[in-house]
Amino acid sequence: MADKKVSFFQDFIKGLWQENPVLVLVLGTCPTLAVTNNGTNGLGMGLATTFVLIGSNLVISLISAIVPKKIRIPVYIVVIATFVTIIDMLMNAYAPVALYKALGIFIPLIVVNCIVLGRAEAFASKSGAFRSILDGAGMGLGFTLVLTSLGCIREFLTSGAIFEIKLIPGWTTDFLLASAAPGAFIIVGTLLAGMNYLNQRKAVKSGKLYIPPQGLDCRHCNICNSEKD
Amino acid sequence: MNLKDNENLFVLGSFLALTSIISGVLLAVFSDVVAQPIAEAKLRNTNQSLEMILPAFDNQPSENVTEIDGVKFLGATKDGKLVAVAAEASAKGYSGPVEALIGIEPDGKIIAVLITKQTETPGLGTNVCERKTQKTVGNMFDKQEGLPPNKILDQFKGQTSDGNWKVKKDGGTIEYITGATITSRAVTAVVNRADSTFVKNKAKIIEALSKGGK
Repeated sequence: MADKKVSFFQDFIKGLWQENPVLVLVLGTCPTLAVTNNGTNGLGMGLATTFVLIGSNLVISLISAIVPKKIRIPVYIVVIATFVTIIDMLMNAYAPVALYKALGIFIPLIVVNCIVLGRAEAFASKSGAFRSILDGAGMGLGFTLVLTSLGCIREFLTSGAIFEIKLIPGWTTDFLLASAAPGAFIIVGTLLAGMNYLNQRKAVKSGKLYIPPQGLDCRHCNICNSEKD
Repeated sequence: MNLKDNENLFVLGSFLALTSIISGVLLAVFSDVVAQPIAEAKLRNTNQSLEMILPAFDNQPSENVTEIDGVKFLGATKDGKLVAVAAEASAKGYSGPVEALIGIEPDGKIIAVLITKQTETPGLGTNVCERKTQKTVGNMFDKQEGLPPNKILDQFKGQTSDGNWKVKKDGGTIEYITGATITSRAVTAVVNRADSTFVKNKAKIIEALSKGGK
């Protein structure tokens, strides 16, 4: 990455599709599967995570120069936890009660969301403040996009509604599989397959073999390589 | 001093401690800032539920409280007269406690039942507990008014508990939903307990709550 000049725009846009945290990096699947039983929850969770990503990316890019290598992970976790506590209190005060109740334990659990620590480790600790904010915003919005669409799909399959507005009036019996955890796995799997299919078809059209983005082999996390650093 | 490659245990420990202290102080200040809005949101939420199940009142029922046998009674007064009581109680449901807010007239008749907290199975147990108006494309911009209906919760309206309510499956008179018997039982139990406690201790509760709680 270092020898390739990457534009600011690219930093932002890559999170939406090319390196989408859920569909390509397959990080943060816990909230992805757990809270997306309707569109509103998916949107709320996505925006909360976006806030944490932008905040922690910014702070970590600023302090990474002085953080001792040996304890960088605990320090990053403290930074992330601070932002998560802030968004938790903010949502408690200003978000609709139903949304705050529905997200419940998954807001504090953003601390251990792999995307946040993954971006801190792989991007923010090596990049400047501005690029880190863009990266956080892009990754966060990519996450929000997937969570919201997943929520809408599941909500529609469950009861024919989107954002709690019934589109098919006669649909009275809920299809519970889609709103339960197994349904979430099936739908995420289908989305992943669709994403890979599109990428492969694009690659074949331009006469190449589809190769996932470089540096994604052991994903962005190089925690297990820290001895070799 | 090169912090980045430092391996001194003391330096590392102090660095981590310093980070935590900074974060702690920031959070303490921030929690002070949002303490007021959080309290307001909580109060708004309680009052919203109370307004749904009680007739018009002009005091703050959550400050006019008495507790008997584990049931909390909130008194709603208007012009200094007790108009209704809201009972807060909970019972064990299928997957956790079911908490209810029950509006009761001073003579013991139930006005309305609202489930405030539950973790029942979506699509089965929640059908017993949820009051929700279905928004459709046709009415999405209409203002929601009054209490959305729920077949199970509405059957208690206007009744007075004899302290012995049971669902039909257990030989009682209360309707239940097949597939959600345990939740129906929990809802029946919590309403039964709240209302019968009120009926038994009517004089005492009314006396305690009539002052309006100031």
